[in-house]
Amino acid sequence: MGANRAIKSASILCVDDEPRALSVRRLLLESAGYQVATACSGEEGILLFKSQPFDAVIMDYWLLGMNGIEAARELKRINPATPIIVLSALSELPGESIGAADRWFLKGDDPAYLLNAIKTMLESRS
Amino acid sequence: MSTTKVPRIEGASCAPDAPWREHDNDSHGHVVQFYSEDRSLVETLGRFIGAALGAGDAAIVVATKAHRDGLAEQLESRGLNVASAIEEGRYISLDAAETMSEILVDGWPDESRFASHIGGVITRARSAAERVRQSRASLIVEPRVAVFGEMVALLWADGKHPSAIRLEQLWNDLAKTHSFSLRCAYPMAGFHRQEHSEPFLKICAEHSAVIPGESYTSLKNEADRLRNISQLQQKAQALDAEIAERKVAQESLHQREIALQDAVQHAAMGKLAAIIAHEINNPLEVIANVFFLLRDHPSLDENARSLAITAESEISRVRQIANQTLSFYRESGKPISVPLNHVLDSVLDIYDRSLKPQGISLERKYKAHREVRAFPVEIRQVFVNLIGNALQAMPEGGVLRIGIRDSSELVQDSRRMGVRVNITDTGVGIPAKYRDKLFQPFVTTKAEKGTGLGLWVSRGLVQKLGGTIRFRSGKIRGKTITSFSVFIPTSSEELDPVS
Repeated sequence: MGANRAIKSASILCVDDEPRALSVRRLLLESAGYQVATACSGEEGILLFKSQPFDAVIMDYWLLGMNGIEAARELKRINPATPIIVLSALSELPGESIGAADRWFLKGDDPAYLLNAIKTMLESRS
Repeated sequence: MSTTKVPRIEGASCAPDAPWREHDNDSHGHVVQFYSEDRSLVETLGRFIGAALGAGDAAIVVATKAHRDGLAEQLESRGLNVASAIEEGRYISLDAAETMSEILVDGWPDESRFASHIGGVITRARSAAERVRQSRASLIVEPRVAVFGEMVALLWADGKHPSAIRLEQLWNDLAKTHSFSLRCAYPMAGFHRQEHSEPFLKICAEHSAVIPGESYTSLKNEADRLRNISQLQQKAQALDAEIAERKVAQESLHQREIALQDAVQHAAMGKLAAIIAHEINNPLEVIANVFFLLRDHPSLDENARSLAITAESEISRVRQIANQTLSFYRESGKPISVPLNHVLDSVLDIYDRSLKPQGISLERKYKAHREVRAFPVEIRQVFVNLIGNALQAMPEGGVLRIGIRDSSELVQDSRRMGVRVNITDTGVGIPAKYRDKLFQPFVTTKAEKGTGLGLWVSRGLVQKLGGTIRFRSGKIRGKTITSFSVFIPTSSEELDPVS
């Protein structure tokens, strides 16, 4: 995990309506040295995003109410520079989601892939 | 001007107007008449039966009530005393349905019943005519028997075509032991389908002569008849052509129906696959994250850490199998424009951490300008599989080359334009024994590490886009090189045969 600790001070907003998945993902990100804020819906995520700066966002695709792609589009409208990763439990994402997110991952993929992608994205920004 | 001799038309000698004893020199004549109008049949029968009765011969009619009533009127109008002929016993009129019930066994004409029943009727009628001849000191040397039978037409109308043909054969058999002149009749409307052609020919073959429908027999001279035949031949040819066209259209429709059913089934499976994937991957992410955290947790001893790593590996296996299997049934709409360089970069992102520790150097050559339309997740999975395989083939390090370029492929008479992605490694290579079956399911070169589904699924996904996937593996300058080449078409053009 040491290799994933390059951007220790980075803050990440994590949005998911599954509390258990959200709490474990938070632990995962924190174990890699990130500061993590969580939101249980797209709407809540947007409010948080407006209230404070984040270095990256990890968004669940299938959210109740506003879905992850709609929320990602809104976040991009607020701050296009913030990288967004969309996570999906589906093995298919609609085509329009390709432009809304910088990266997307399948839930259940090796967690190291996700951490590696976050690190690469943050490094390319700095 | 020379005159052309008009050829004799088969059946013309049996034309309805021919005199009874002059034309019918074959005492076993078995003539079939096809008719369109009942009135026409009854008139023809009137001449046939009337001629026999008028000549002092015997006549037997086995027909429907309507035809028998119509015939009686016809005979009366010809000045024949039907009642007297019946009384004399030389005119026997039988109901076709009732007679048929006497000779059928389980819907099939029984040979002995037929011979006994019909043979008996013929003998009775002949004997009666003989008695009349003797009483009148007639000049007729030997009375003859004219028979009209309509049971075959009833069987045919009832759809019992083999029974009708069998009954015709029994009439022919009976003619070997009994002397009579037989006429059968079928309404032309009973032969309106293409599948009637073969049994129609069989019926004709069971008869010594055929009388065509009245549209032909009503024609007065040979020239008109020949014209009529030519018209019929033209119609037959046109119908044959139309039938052939319809068969092609029906086949095309059938194929479309199958494709539609497949699409509906695929869509249903897609919905199910999406639900299953969702239900599997959500808890799988939590478990994968937990074991990822657990394996480096300071509270674990070496044994526990080893168990956590094993669990993590097995979870990875579950994830692979679930996603590979469900990928065939993804609920996809239409393919969209996909920048392949972005897709490949995103795949290389996830493998990035494996490259340096394994001593693998990466070379990318992206030169494609064409846009590919694909399903983003599916095409990504193809490259996840191929690049993953390439990396696993280089445990001792090597070079991974990813190339994207505009390309084309020849398919029969057309050239397809597209984009080709080459994924090349300098790994251990693919043993010859696997090469023929590499794309078959459950074939793996990686022993227990592989699911044997990756290449099979990849090929299916590429083929879904109309593309191809192939590989080469061999030694070049002492190094083992393995290259997988994926071609995804963007368009196709007909090749000029001259060029």
